[in-house]
Amino acid sequence: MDSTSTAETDYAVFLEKVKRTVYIDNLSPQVTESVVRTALGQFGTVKNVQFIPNYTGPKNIPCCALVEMECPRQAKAVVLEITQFPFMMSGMPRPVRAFRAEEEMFDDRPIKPGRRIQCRWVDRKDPDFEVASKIKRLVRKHAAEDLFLLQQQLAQEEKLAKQQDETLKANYKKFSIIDNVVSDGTAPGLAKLYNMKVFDA
Amino acid sequence: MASSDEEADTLPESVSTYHFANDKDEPISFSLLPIRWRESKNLDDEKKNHMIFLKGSVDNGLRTIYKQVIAWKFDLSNKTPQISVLTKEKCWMELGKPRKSYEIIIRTVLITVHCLHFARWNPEASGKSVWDYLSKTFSLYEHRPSQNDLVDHLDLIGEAVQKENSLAKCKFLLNFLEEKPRKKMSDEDFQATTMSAFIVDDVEDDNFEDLEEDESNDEDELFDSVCAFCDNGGNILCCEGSCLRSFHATAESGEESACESLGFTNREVEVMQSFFCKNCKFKQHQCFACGKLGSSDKFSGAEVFRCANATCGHFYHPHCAATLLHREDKVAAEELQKKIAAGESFTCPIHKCCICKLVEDKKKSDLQFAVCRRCPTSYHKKCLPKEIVFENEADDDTIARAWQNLLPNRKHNIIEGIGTPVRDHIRFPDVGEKKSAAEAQKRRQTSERPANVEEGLSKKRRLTSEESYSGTFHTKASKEMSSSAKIIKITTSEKISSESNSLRKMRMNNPSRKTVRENTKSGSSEVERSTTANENKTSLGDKLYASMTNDSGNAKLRKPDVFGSELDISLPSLDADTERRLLALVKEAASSITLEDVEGTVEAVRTAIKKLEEKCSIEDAKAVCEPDVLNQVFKWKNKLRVYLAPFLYGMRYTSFGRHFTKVEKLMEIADILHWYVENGDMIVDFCCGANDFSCIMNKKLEEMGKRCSYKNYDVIQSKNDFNFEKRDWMTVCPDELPKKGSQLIMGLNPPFGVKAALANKFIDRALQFKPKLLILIVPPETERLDKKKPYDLVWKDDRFLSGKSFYLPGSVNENEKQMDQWNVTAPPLYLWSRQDWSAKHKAIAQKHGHPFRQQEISNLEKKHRETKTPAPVNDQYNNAGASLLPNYIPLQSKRPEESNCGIVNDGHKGRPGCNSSDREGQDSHCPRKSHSDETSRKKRQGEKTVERGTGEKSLGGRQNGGKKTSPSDYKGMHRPSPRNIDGRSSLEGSSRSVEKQPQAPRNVDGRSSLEGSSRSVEKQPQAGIGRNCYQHLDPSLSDSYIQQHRTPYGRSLVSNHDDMNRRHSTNIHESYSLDIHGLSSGGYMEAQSTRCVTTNGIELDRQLPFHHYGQQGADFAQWNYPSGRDLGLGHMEPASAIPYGHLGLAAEPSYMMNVSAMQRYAPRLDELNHTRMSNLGPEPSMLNRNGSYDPRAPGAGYQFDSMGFAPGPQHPYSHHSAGWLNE
Repeated sequence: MDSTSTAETDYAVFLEKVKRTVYIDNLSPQVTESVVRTALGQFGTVKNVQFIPNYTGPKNIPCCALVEMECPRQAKAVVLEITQFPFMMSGMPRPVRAFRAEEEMFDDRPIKPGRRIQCRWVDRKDPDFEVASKIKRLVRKHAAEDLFLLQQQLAQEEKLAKQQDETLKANYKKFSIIDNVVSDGTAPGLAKLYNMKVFDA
Repeated sequence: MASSDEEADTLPESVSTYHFANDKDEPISFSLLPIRWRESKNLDDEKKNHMIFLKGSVDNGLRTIYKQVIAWKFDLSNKTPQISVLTKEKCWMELGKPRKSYEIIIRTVLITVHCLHFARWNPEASGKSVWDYLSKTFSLYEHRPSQNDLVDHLDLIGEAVQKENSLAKCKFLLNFLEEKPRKKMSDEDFQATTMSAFIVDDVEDDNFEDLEEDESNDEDELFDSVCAFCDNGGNILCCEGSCLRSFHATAESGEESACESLGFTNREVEVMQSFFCKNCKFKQHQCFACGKLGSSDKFSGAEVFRCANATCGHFYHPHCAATLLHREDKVAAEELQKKIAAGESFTCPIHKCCICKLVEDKKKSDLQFAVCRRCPTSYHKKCLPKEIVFENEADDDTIARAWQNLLPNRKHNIIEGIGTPVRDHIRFPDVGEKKSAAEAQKRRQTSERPANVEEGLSKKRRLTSEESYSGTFHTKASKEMSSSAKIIKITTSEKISSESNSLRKMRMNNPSRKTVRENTKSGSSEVERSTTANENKTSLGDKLYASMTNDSGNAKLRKPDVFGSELDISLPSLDADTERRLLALVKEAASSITLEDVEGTVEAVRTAIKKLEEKCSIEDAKAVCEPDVLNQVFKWKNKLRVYLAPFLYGMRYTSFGRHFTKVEKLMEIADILHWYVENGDMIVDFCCGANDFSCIMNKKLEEMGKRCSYKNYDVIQSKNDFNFEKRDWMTVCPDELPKKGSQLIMGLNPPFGVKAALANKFIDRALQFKPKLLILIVPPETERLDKKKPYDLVWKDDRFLSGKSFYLPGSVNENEKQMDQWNVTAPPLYLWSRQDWSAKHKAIAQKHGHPFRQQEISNLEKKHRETKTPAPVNDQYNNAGASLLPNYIPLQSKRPEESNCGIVNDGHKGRPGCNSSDREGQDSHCPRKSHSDETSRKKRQGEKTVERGTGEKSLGGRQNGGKKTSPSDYKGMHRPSPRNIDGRSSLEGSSRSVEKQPQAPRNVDGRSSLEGSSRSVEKQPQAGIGRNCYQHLDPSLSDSYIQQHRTPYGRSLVSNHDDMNRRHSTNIHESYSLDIHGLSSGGYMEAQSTRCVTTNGIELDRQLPFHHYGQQGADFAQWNYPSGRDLGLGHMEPASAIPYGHLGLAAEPSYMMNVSAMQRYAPRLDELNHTRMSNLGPEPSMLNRNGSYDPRAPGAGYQFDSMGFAPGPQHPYSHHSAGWLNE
């Protein structure tokens, strides 16, 4: 009895925490805890920041975190603000996304009371075997597809970055040429000679 | 409709290819005629002021008619709206299709009528659908129908709504009428107005608008808008080479004029990144005079040479050109021929009128040029021979030879069928002669360039800028739509989406345009409000899963866009297409100002000025480079500067983010303000930010025993809920707050916006409530309230908010501390009182000595002024950099011997404000990093003393040296220093310096300058300033700098301050500080919000009290410059070699950081910069610095790691920041 009641209270506490927590996605890997804390601190008091580690998959992809706020209202406010306005953290490639947290996101969640998890080996002849192996295959396939998509996305980002870089360089070059001719007096001088007014910001 | 007996009974005839003209035969819109409503009152038909005639063809083109008309009407009852005109003979004629050229004139009426028609049949339609429909209907128009078109006919719409019940039901019309939009909402796309309120500023600056329109016109001139083959317009493709020509790319785009076109397919054109015609590609151009092909390759035996005029683009044999230029004088011709062949620039005969030999004056219509498209001949409009007739004058007999900008010479016989001379004039290398034009049955109709061309060029540029640098969403959607709304809002960018296809490269068909738009729209809405994604956060996953399990076979082929999940995934090909198109768009947009353009134009400018120096006539110079082209150069510069803003300003770029006033400052304000508050007042903070002000006021007022109410508004929820309403201040109505206003006190710190645009808006709104008091923190360029309404200024405090008065909410710097910023120009604190309360408030102010600061400041300043020439930049040094100042003072006083400049020294000594404590602080700081620079520098000063040069002289010398262009005249070269310099970000400084000294050592970086100065001898104060700068950048760095610092930046900085005619060339430090200050103050403000501030929160705790900084800064600034300059100059040479590493401007990372640029920009730019160093001077160096920044202490003061989202696979994220530091 005791254990169950503590389990239940634990779980209740946990649920309450979940309600207060915000799940943030699309974080740059360079974001640190203090960044998150301060950033979300605008909207409320941040109690705890926990990054969800990425044990599998490529390392340099966006991360996610669970941020525990003081009360559910604040969590709601955070989610609302972030979804309404693009919210950048530590750089500007893309804004973060925020959702209300859910129980499954916490890897350290207490056991749900009244639930028992059992494991057993499945024999080949067992009818469940087929089902189990199908599920297993499907999960693997999903993972593979996921990975593929991710790579596609990264490739696109790469391409875009290159493009932007080129544009930047090109623009910069143009700017410097123009700037030169303006700053060394040629252009303003000519303007004077033409009796023209030029608007030079 | 009721028809009176007088009106004819026969069926109304239908007129096509019609146009209306007045008695002078000028085209005129029929909407000027009185309109007949159904009631048909034929009252005042007779007394119209206009004699308007209808010309057109009836009976399927068999007959032409020419009748006077007296009224018009429109009928909305059929499937399509029908417009009819009443002839003088009282006979109604229906209008069919107008003549092409005339369409432009009646565009607005047609759009209005169609709009009414649509509204009638779809009364529930939203504005959006109306515009969509109109766009579709008028897809052939250059410009999408917009509100502007309707604005012209507001009365008409109003009347129609009144008379027709069905129209009265239409919500859209009613709204529109109520709204009564202003005309000239240029470029504001209708859809775009629904975009998020994220737009920081809404500049409808006249200048900018002018810029825009002018630009578009200018750019039009740069690029031909008619096909080189057939002289017709339409869908044309511009060559990006030096020929400046355009062509019909596909057979169908050239259909109308039976143009042979280039023969591409639509697909090929879409995919093409950039188009170079065969001539440019193979560098073989035809001589425009004789038509023969010749090599134009400058590097290997050129036979034909291009005219130097930036907008010309024609090539000539030296012989041909010389002969044409000097028809009579053989000797001169031969000489010229030799010169041209040797590569000298020349202007072809086109630029002078055939008849009178003068140049064109675009402003006077008589003196506008008609330029032949086949041979180098031009005429002023007034010099035109009679045979050459313009199209609108031509009637059936004479063939029009001249259109708005085209003019085939009479030499060239025009073939009737196709309306142009024989089309064999274009020759491509290896392609052989073009086949002569096919005969066509129909008469050619040229599409004249529409009267108001808002060329997509300007928009393209905007497109680029937004796309590239907004950088927030790298999705197709964002590129087109949201990007414009983001960080940089250059005026009216939204049209991009609509006009995105009217790019320089291609004007795509509307359907495709629409799809793209729709896609992007949906995409963008997805991105911007990812609510959809959020509501169902597994939606994307689900969709993907679904699509994948369903078509697992095709899964691999798809490229679902993460953000574009709203788009139907089952159309992968569409996505890919759209993607490509968008990429092409970006590319195109990016190249809207091509490098060739720029180079060509710059070349022309230089040639022109050279000519003028050689005492050629102004006419000649104008022939090479027209005034418009020159204007263009400046416009480009301004535009590009905005695009590159994140990189040029670096850390200061954060000014576009929210800045909250620090709590200490708020408390001080509360301390001052509470005296004016009476019991029962309501204090409204219309932009409360973190909502601290209200709480502080509340506390204070409770202490004083006054009971007041509060209201706070902001668009973003703040942590603190005290009387907070999450609302946009602009939506708050007068009835929500106490009516009288005598109980209202409003404030405090609105967003500034570009040129205080937003601040003005907030204030205007606030004035509607007639508050008795307004306490404002706004930039100095805000409109003064005493000019707008009956308000008086009670007091104004310039220095109150100097120093680090603001912080960036939610941001931390490297050291995980709150980020602050101070302003280059501290925004003053104003207290405005309503006139009926002024006396009372002024009395209160008097009583309590508000604002106390001002007196102090003025004292100090006076003292300064005695000693040196007052610098205009005084006010601008409010800058927090001031923190340095106090340091300066003491330092200076202690080391008189160090300054060579007697004056300066005296000045320093004279400073009352020297706080020995500061000095102590300084000294004691020695060992400490942040300020240690100064002291250590001080020590080094000894070394440099010698080098210091002679104060003024050296200064002067240096300045001269520094300024390449006007050596003796630095005073004259008024540096835009206050404007351009940003003390803090070396970037800014360097950029300025760059301007002045193209070769200035690159280390313009403010910091570096500091360093340098510190090295040289400098007095503490400078060091102080330098320190400050460092502080901005990173105090820790200073140490490292000290070693290497040379003054390069000093010089660059110096050069900027030419007008800082300081004779005291005291420590370089000082000058640096000055420079820095100057930089900061001058800085960059103009175009930017004055909140731009350098960053660096690190030093916060180490800084000396700010209060005095502002004051002193200004003072110091004055003398620092010279010294800085000295130093700079003196040490320039060696400095130049210095690697940028030193510069390590904190700014480095800053710009990279804050900006959307991907990290890789940094390294790449660095490379670029390195190469550019020698040429470009500071600016590149700034960027450079990023790369070469040497290991600064970790607290490098850059707050954000550079983005790391799209790293190369080989760059793990973790490495990025390190990379910067270590590079």
